[in-house]
Amino acid sequence: MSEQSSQKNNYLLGIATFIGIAVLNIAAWYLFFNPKGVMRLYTPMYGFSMVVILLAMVVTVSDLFEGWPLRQNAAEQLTLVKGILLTGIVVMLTWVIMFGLFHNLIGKFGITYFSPSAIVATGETGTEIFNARENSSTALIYLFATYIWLAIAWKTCFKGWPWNGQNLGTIGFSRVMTVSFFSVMAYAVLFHPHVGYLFSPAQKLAAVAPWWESLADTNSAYYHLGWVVCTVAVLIMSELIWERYPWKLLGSENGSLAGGLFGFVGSVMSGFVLMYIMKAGMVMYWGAPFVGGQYLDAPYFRFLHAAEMAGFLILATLVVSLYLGNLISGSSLVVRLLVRTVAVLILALLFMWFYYAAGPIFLGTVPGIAQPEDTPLCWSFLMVSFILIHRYFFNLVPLKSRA
Amino acid sequence: MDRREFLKVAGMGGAAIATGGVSIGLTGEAYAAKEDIGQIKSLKVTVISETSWFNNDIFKKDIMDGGGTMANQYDIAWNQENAGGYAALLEIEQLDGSKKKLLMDTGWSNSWMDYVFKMHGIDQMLKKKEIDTMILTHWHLDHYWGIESTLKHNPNITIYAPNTHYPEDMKLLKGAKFAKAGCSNSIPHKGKLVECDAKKVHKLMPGVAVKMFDVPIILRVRGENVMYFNVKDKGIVTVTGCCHPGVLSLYSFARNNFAKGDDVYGSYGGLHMTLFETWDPKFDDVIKGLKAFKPEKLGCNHCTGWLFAEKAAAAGLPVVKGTDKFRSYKKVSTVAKNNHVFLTNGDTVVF
Repeated sequence: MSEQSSQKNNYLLGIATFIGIAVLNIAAWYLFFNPKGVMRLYTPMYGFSMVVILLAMVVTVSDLFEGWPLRQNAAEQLTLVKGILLTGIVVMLTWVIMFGLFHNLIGKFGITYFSPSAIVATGETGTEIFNARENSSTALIYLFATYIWLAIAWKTCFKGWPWNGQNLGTIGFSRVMTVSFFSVMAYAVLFHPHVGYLFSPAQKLAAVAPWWESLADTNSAYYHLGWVVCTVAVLIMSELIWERYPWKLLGSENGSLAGGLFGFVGSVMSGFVLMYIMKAGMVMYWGAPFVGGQYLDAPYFRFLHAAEMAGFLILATLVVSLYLGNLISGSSLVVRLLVRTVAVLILALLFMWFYYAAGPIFLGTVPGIAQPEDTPLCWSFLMVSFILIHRYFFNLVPLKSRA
Repeated sequence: MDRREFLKVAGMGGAAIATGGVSIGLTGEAYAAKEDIGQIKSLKVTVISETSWFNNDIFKKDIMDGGGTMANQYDIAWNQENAGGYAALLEIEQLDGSKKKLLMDTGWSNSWMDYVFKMHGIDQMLKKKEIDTMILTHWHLDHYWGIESTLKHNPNITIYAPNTHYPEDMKLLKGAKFAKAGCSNSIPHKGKLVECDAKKVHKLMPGVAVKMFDVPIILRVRGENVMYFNVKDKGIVTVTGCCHPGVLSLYSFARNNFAKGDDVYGSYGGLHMTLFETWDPKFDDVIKGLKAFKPEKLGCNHCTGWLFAEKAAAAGLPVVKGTDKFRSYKKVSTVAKNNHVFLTNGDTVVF
């Protein structure tokens, strides 16, 4: 078989494998989230929070622990049995963290808004179980989105620093503790003010008023969610399709403080740039948003939508990298990066089309954009979780490992 | 697609492709020239019923049990005891002194709507053809499913409705029963149905226009008709069922598309804010934005939420005070308060 023919077959197998994962995803969506499905958990925040925590757990096992303790070193291949075990572990962790740790421990004995039943127990205005669950879920989404961002940033920018030389377990635990610590700090500053003002009366003694209002023209923390998800998109694109450029210009293979800081600060700045580019595009298409506008006119929606588009970019990056073998391996660095980036942009548009145009058929969503009860982030994050599980836990079977 | 359109699409990352054909009639939609919709002398709004349901918790439970906020409203088993409805009587005085009555929406529960229609004499107005036109703001159950209560008195009534209806909506209009959802209509509509699309402003008479905004709404509904009135020496007044597109977007549309549209005088209707009496920081944005537009009269009720009305009034916005007339109705909302920040059942407001 010629090399060209073999390459074509690889693409076909990659596409077929991805379609298989997508079918599994849609089946799972039908079971858990589809408004016309079985469990109907996409309300939307309740189901969305489950997806975000699941993704955080996948990232924890795959990126922070690198498969430990089932994998003793990073080069070792995972087997089907280990894949099933790891998948079971992340699903169980999701359940334990959401319902055990937050709804029943932290929420009931520490911070009220993390537990729906604790919110209801206050008897304050509007604290009925459905809204309480949505508010509690909103807080969890913000907290674990922060965790995902910092976990990926640590793995990409700092790598094993400062624990190089230790075994995977030590490195994993150290990374989790560090990322958790900084996640709590970042959440407190970026998102807690929003959650504190989700209630009436506003929880002024526990949370400051949203301090970014004059910067973003909105009190909503979707402003921060926007740049955080855009930053994650930049980090993942850098890691998977840009061959770790530009962060590898300063930093060692195993990570360093200087390289880590360079990557972290640079990625945040790039995330902001990406968000404002998207925002400018939306202004071109929909006109300028204004304070107090709703739907497409809402400043907070523009930031959320930037995050939603970044979600499609992340998904497309994973597909191009893992299922299409990054498309091009020869040629110059600039050409390689350009070809892959263009492919990712096109694929992201296709995913966007799928969600908004075909979503009402396959996902049970409502036609239209800016629906307040719907965010494509939930579906795209679930897809990302499935792909990462396939990549890290199942070694991309039946494809050869390209990870 | 011309070059300019292509660049717009490419610039925003393909949102036009992604919307799947849903055109959003907000600020991105530009009219060739500002339309002069004329003027009226005055508008009087009577709240026939703003209590679409009486208990928030029951209503929300029905939604959650039925699949959440994106479920099809016809697939949900609604608690019939909780059903009320939304409707208003609009009395317009033209500059020449002639008067015209319009019905806005027709509520949810037929028994409740029959009760409130009789209380306000709407049944007789329909029979005598004093009301020959109904503006259906949107296809939500609490604004539409009480259609039989209107058609039984005047099946030939002209209806202006969003063209974004589903097959179930048309079936109900022609006469149908949805057992699970608990809605039915035995009187087929025989009058004219004007299907409003997002690209056109329908002028009903001088100073009165209907504009459809094609926005996605919960319970699988799309699109809302908004009524614009231009009151002489006062300015633009918006009248809404739920105001899903957002009150400031309505003002913005008037400013961009109507002659003297930047003179906003006020609003009546549901403003879709703290529907379930729960706050969100984005509502602080709305209060700030409303203050910038400086409306002179805000008559709010229904999905505005008492909480939003209270905070808007406290922030200095001109919220029109209601009365205690609603307490004489046979049913009262469980979230009703004594602070009169709502225009409740039986109240009136004049613009």
